[in-house]
Amino acid sequence: MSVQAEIGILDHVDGSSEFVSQDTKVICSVTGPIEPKARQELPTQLALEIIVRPAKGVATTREKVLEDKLRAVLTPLITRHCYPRQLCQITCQILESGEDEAEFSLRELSCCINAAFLALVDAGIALNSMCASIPIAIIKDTSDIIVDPTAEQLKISLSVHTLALEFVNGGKVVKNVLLLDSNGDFNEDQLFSLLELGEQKCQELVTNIRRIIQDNISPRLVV
Amino acid sequence: MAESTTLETIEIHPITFPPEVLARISPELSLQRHLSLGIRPCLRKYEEFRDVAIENNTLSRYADAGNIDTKNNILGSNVLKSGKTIVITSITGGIIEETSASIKDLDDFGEEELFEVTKEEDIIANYASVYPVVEVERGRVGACTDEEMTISQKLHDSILHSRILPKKALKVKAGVRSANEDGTFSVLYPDELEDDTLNETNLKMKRKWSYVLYAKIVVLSRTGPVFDLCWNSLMYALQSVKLPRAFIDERASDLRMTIRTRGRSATIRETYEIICDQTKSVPLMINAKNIAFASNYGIVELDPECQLQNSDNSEEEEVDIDMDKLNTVLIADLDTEAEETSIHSTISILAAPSGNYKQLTLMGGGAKITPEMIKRSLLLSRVRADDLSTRFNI
Repeated sequence: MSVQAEIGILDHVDGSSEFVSQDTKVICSVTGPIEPKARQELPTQLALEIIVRPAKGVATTREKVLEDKLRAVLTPLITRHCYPRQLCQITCQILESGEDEAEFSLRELSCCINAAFLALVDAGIALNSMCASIPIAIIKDTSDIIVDPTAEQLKISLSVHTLALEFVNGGKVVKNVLLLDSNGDFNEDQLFSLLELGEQKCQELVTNIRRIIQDNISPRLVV
Repeated sequence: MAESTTLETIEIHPITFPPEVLARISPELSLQRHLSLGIRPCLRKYEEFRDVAIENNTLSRYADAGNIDTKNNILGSNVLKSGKTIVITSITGGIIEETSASIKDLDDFGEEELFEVTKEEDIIANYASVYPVVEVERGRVGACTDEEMTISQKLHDSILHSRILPKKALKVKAGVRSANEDGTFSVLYPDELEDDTLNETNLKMKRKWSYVLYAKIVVLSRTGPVFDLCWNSLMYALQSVKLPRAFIDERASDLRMTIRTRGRSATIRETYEIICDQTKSVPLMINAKNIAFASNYGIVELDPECQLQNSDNSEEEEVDIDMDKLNTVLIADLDTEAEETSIHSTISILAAPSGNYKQLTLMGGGAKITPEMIKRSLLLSRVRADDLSTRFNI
């Protein structure tokens, strides 16, 4: 999965990132830890406010579902007990969806996950582990498993999947599956072979992400 | 001074709570205590599902086959009861005009195009979905909650991606109402006619309509996650849907006039209404093999520290529990607040009785999800789907 990413692109927030994979482009900002509104406050943990804005139009229930899934991935990632009674705002603005928005959302979702992770690193929020996410499609007829499918490939797919894995030990060990969201028609064998392939590809991506972070941070370090 | 130190002996009484109070103030502990006994807070076993009682089509206008209730606009319905929770699904419909007729909609395409179309048969664009609105009753009014929004959207997406509802099934095969010589009206439907004569000439309509389906899902007494209850209820309701036939007036079937305003000429088509037949209906032809049923699972680690101590003999053996080797268990059909709030690793599956899966959502916020756990939950979901699919015909 070839990706381009940049971190620290926005000035007025604590952390930001831009993540590009093929035709999908997402920009993410993180503000926090800050003072929450009374109703958001959690007595022992960091509260998260996650917002996804679509490439065109205003946010609908479709974006609510994306927010819900993004929250499921980010919540276990952040060391939330470090910031009791505080809030972290994570906003993802999709610049280009790179897929038919009426039918799919997997490309956007995995780019949002990766972008949010990079922005959290940039903001210096304490994290438990690393994560990487990839979209996967199984093509009709041939049953080929395609990682990072294009919009055209999605059109002829039989099932589509978003996979997000949690990595520890310098991105070498998979700790858990943070999210696997599969839709379409698939069987057990396909599911396990895509998990296997997905693990390998996520591993490559997480190495990539580490390199991107390293490239961005090393010039700022005072040796 | 010496006196006071001797007097300062404080007796600490352990505080005890009744189970229902403990469940509220410390759901995590309550859950672990129950699990250590081999049961769950709802008193089910680990892999035991709640029973489901359903009632189909009792609310619809076609509920009484001989006597159609013309004031009722519900086309199909289901009432599902599972544990304490009741889900009421009612499906209503509308008709919209298709603005951009693609090549597939034309009736007279040639051999070559037909081949193209069959090749693309499975593309998601050939399938439609329903528009669900989920309402979880909580005894207060106000804007819809995030949960209601996400469940509605997930239901919509899952129906689309399961390929249950082909767009073809929603096309309106409109009839024509014509006035007879004696002043009465009769409605002719193209597919009901024996001879093709009328079919070929009069009923060729240039405009296309299709049905849209709306589902209103009301959840009463929510006790736990409700996505799968809503989905199952919607599946039953969809299978009972009957679409009313629709017709237009013969006079308006192909009317066109040219008008001139300020030197410009324009063609105006008669705007005519499509009217639903009060009595006649056709069953909705859904893709029965793609019907799937939902089930959900949670994965939780058993915490040895929360185990209830056995008051009798076995205390000596239990002392050296290996703290590194945590026991994880799979729990089916999550219910109760304790399970919902303290289980963060969940699996939600839509399984078709054919053995394939239509949707799967793994969320690993808590205990590690192992391949064995996934396999086990897939197996259970298949068994559950088989069981639920037989309920409809009763």
